[in-house]
Amino acid sequence: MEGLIEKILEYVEPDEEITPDSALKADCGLTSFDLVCITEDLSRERGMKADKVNIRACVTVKDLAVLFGIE
Amino acid sequence: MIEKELQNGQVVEAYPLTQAQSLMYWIFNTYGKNPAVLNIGTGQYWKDDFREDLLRQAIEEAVERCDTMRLRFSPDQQYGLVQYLADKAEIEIEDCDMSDISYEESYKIIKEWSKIPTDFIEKPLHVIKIMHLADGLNGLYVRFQHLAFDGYSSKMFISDVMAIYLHKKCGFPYPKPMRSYIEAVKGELAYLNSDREKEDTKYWMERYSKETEPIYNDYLLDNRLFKARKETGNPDLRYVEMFEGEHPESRTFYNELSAEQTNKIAEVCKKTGMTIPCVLMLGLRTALSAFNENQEDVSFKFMINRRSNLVAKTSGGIRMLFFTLRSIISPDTTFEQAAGILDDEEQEIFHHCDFHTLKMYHIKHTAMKMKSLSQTYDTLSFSYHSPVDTPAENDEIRATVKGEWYNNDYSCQNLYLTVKHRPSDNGLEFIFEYRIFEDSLEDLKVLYEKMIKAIEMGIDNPQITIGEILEEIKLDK
Repeated sequence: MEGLIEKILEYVEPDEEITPDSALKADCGLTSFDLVCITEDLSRERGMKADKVNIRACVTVKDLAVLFGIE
Repeated sequence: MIEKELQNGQVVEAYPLTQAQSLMYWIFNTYGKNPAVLNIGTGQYWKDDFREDLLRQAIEEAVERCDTMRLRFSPDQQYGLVQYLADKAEIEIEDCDMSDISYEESYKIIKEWSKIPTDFIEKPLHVIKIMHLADGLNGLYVRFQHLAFDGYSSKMFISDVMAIYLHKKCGFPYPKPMRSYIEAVKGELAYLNSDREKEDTKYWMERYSKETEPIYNDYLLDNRLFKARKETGNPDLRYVEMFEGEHPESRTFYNELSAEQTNKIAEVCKKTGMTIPCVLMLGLRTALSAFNENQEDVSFKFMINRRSNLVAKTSGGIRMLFFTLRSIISPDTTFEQAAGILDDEEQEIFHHCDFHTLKMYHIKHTAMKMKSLSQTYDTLSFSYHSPVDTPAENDEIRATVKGEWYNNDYSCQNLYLTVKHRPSDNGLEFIFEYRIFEDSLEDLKVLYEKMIKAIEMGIDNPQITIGEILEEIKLDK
């Protein structure tokens, strides 16, 4: 999970600390384009392709972690 | 990296143009026909107990922090044009007092500055002036060069100036550092010939080999596709011939929504999951559909600024590439569903949007058996600029902020719609940049009216169908 939060911090500098329950858009400030790029990065790093419909269903950092099997 | 000897004999570390720069440079050479096309004239003015000394210091620090203020270009036999960073920006910050003439008069004079061609070979690219205008407005004018800044990065620069000014004047937090421009350039150039580019080439080739032929939807009521069908005797013709290089002279048609109207759109988007750019594009494509006998298949170019990670977001430069956004939407689709269709399509393209626009169009034109890039299915170009948080001392002063874009009256495209947010209250502004040879202004007024009506109907009731909206906005109404 820490690695995922570090990855998110390559994209945004939110005022509040990011936690697993932080909302990706509302709390972290990620845009749709940021999310596509993060999932592209994660897909390449982890050798898997995330389904784009599932990406849209990700609301929190935890949802994104579950999608990519990150603990 | 290239070892480059400049005209004065100095040797510098230089780099080829990135994809976005080479696209801009190609558009400029092919369609621009006037060096002023590459100017972005902007102003940011406000009313406060103005401290000129602090603004000057803030600008100097912001220039120091921003690599692309030192960016230069040099002609090169192998690459055509290469870029490098000079040791110093060498930008003289002038002071200009126009407080004794009306704001409207000063606007006309400042606009003329944006028409002055920039000699961009091995020289400073940008012009910065501290301005004193009528009614107690003060601030800065910046003429950015478009190979070094785009709409997003120019706003970032002005936001940085404001943050530093407010730090000095009111003790606001000092802004976080800008990132390295050269790092961003290296990232862009690393994409070329990479596995990612090969995957994207495969994607675009497969996509266009499977796609049915699109159709051109005109924004002129005297429909050029219908005319071309008659002239060629080909009733199945689906594209128009549109060489855009001969007449770059343009004007702007400006409209805006109130903060309340804009907030309403944002609130409905938040509730439903629709996004503001998709709602805007849906309004646009519905209006185009109404102009073209309720055509279900609409294509236009949309700009992607490709600023995701912090290096891309805060390193200046230009990152904009254009792609076709095609949507086929039947009349029984609800507004919310249609916005989802556009969102899906946009996200699909996001995955492959580092690919050079010209390569994408080459693949598309080959697949569609078209003869030249002058033949097009894409009606116009559209870009949405998400709000950039520009700090203000307090809400009262924020309400006085004027953010101006001084169009230089030359455009590389026949019609380019930019939608952005007003700095004073975040309300939406619609800027249609149109070439005057087409005589399109009256038709654009109708197009805008129908676009906004479609958006209002969809925001009032996201379950309304596109067919119901088309019935309401049909041309004879």
